Amino acid sequence: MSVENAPVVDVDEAAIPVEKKMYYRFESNDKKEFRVSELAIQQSETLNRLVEAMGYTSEDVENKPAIAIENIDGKTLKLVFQWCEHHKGEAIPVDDGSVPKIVEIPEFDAKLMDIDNGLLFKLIWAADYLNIVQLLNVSCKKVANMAQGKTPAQLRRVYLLPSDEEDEAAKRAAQEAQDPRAREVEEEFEERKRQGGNSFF
Amino acid sequence: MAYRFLSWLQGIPQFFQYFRYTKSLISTNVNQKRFKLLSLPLLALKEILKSMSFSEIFALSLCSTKMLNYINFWRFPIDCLSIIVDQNGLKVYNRLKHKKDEHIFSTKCTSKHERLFRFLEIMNVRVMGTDVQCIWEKDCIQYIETTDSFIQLAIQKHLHQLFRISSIDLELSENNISNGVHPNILNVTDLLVKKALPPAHRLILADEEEEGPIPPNPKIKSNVLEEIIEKYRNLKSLRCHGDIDGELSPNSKIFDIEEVFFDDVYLFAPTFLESFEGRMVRLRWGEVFENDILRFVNKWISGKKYLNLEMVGTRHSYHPVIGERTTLNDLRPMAVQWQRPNFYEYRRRCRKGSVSKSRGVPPSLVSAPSKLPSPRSTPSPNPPPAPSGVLPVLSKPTANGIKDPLPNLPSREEKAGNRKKMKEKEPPRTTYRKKKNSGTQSCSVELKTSSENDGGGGSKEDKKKSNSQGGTRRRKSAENKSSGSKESTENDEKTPRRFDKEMAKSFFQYVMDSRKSRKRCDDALLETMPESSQLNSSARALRKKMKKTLKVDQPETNFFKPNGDPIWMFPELPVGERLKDENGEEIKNPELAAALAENNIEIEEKLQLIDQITNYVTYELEKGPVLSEDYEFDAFAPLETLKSNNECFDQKSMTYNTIKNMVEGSGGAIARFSSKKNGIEEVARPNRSQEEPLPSSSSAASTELFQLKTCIMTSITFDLKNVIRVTYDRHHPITSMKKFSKKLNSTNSVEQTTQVEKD
Repeated sequence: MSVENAPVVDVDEAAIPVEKKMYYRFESNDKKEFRVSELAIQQSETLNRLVEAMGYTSEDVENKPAIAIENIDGKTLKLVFQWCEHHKGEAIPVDDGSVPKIVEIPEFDAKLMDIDNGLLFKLIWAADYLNIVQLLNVSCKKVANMAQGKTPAQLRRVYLLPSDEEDEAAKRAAQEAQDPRAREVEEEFEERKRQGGNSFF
Repeated sequence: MAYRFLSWLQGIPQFFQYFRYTKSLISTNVNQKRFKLLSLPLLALKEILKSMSFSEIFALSLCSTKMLNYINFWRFPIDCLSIIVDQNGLKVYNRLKHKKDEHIFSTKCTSKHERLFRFLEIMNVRVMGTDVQCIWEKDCIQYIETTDSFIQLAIQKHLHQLFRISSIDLELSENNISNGVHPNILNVTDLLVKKALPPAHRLILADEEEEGPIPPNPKIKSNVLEEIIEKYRNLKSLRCHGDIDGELSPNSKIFDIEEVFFDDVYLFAPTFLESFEGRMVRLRWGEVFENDILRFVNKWISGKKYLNLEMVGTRHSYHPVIGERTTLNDLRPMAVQWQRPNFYEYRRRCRKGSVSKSRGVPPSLVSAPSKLPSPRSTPSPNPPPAPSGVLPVLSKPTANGIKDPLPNLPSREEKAGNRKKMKEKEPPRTTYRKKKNSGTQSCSVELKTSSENDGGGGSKEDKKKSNSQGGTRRRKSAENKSSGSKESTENDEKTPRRFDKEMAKSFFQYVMDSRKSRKRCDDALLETMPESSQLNSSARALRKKMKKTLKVDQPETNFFKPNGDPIWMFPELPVGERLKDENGEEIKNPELAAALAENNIEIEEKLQLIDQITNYVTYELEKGPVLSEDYEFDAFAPLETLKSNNECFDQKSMTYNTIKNMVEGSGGAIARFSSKKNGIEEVARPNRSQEEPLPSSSSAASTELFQLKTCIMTSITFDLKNVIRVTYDRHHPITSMKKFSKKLNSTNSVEQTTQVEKD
């Protein structure tokens, strides 16, 4: 039967069930709640697997408490989910092992990451924890760009790298900090021995 | 005045305030820009390092030992590190394949005074456990009061700690070498000696004042070059742009280098040619006489010397050294014996100095047999890559004479394909041929297979003939493949056989001889054909008797005798027990004679298989009656029609078909036999894998039910749903049994589940 000859049936559009987009609820460690679309969550391998394992329906999402992400604060999580929403549906890049890695920072990402280094540090932590490959690539590139044209001394300052002497000093201090306790334990052990106890415990 | 002084005093605290304010601003700005790199997770740190360029990674590694250890933990790969040594210091690059080389860092020696004038920060950099005082400016380490060789070695070791370096290219200039500067760098694989330009100020003077000619360039002394080569023992390639003065010593290491390119004319060229043992060489013939070249080429192509040599590239400035006449007259007889591949793979070592395919000057002689008939006396240090062949090319090829293979060099993939094909096929031979038709002497180079070479003949017509024959042969083989055994018998005589007649004969002769030698007469189990003449005569005698008494057959029910032999097996009687017929001849096997007499059959007279095969090959074997080509066998046809087919089961036609099938079926074996006879290694026959289904079974399995129309009266029906096909490979009995049991279990489980469902 051709398309022209097909019978025309009036359909009530309201009666057709519209498939609703599912928005998952997440909670940061400072009790801030976020609603993230299912497609955006796919950017994060960790969250995607979590959601798949939980098997929530749209009702469950509303009725059950929000999924808690306990080691990321609200400010960072907001940035992460903003990035995920903007890049939802994009393919997840695969590492080809080339060094140096060629990564271009898009305009949106550059604006998003126009933050102080403390927050950038947390963002990288979050991207690594939530396994968001592209966000990790972009944020790492941003950090790598800080090293451009710097001397070793400048790099030491930018990346807060302790020099060998500082490392040595820190190590010595740590040993010294550990030693008094060890000394205390030894003294206690010897005292008990003197008192007549055969065993320490 | 006092007022001014007071106001100046008042301004002092304001100045300090402003100073404090700006300082705090700077410090907050710096704090904001700081990033705790080492507090990041290891994976994130790796990603950051991967995003950095090599120069940044190098700078970072100099920050602290802890950072160096982190970088050393991953050791990112560098394919080729290029080190350029000039008068001031080193320049280190990462050589990239299709891009501009990436600068990593450079080193430079600076004096104390220079740094005072430039107000640059002096810093201490720890390289390989030693603190080096230096100034860092745009990826350049300007070291102070440190010896060059120490820095070179320390930095190189440091680089090896940071990166996985596959090869190191070192570029030196003539000036360095003539000044006695031998860089202290280890594991150099490729060395390039660049031509030194005359000092710049002299050039300017010469231009401006026009006082005289530009002073000559400094020349490298050959012994100095040898010293350098002695130092870099892992050298795989060497290229010299500059002039070299003097002769080489006979035991020089330069002869052992795999690839040597000399871009200029050298006095030692004849000595070098005499002693070179590498794989590739490119020279300029300017100072070499024609006789030297011919002697060299003669030794090379005849396999007397230069066994590792694969390619020779030459350049000449005056006239073609090897002319057409020379090639035709002197080299042709030897060229016929060449066995070599189509193409040689050109490994691009010392790329900066290498001859690129597009830009390079076309060499006057580029050729070489890598696979010579005689075995190699000394193995090459690196096994050469799968040879890919270069044809001899004349210096000035005539328009219709020479096919230049170089412009048609295949891509890598094609080369790989060619290599595979070459393994399968016999390597084609290359010959020089005179054109008989053309009046003037010209040279053509063409590829020929060994079988074509045997045929001789060098004219263009011959070539055409051979090509057309080859074409028909190929077509025939394709047809045979498609038609299989259903080859039309009528066309047999018209079309030539696809096998070699002589080869087929000798093959079957060989088979028969080998069988004879294996035959054991005392083996009781060995089935032997009874002596035909004796049995036929006894059968004839019996037949006469039988005509008188007609015997009615009883249907057989038991197919085995009490001793376990099948009922149709009757051993010959012992000599003493044998009966004699009317003519007085002994009947060795009375049962068989009776059966022959009964069915009016005669055993063929002792077949001389070889004669039959010879007859078949020369089309002298009689075919006998044959069914028409479009005949279709119908099992349900009337008995008369079927009986009429019996004519085609004549003894002659049976013999013909037997011989024909035997010869055609042995095609592969004949080919193997011929290749073995020619001394070519036998190609392993592909074994049918256990999983591979039989070709016929696939079509059968697709139908659930089919009828086997073998009998007129009955039809047998197979229900394939309930039939399991079991493959037993006797070479792998355990695997076969395991598969069978698995199959059995799976079918059982399916049955059980279906039963449960039914319940």
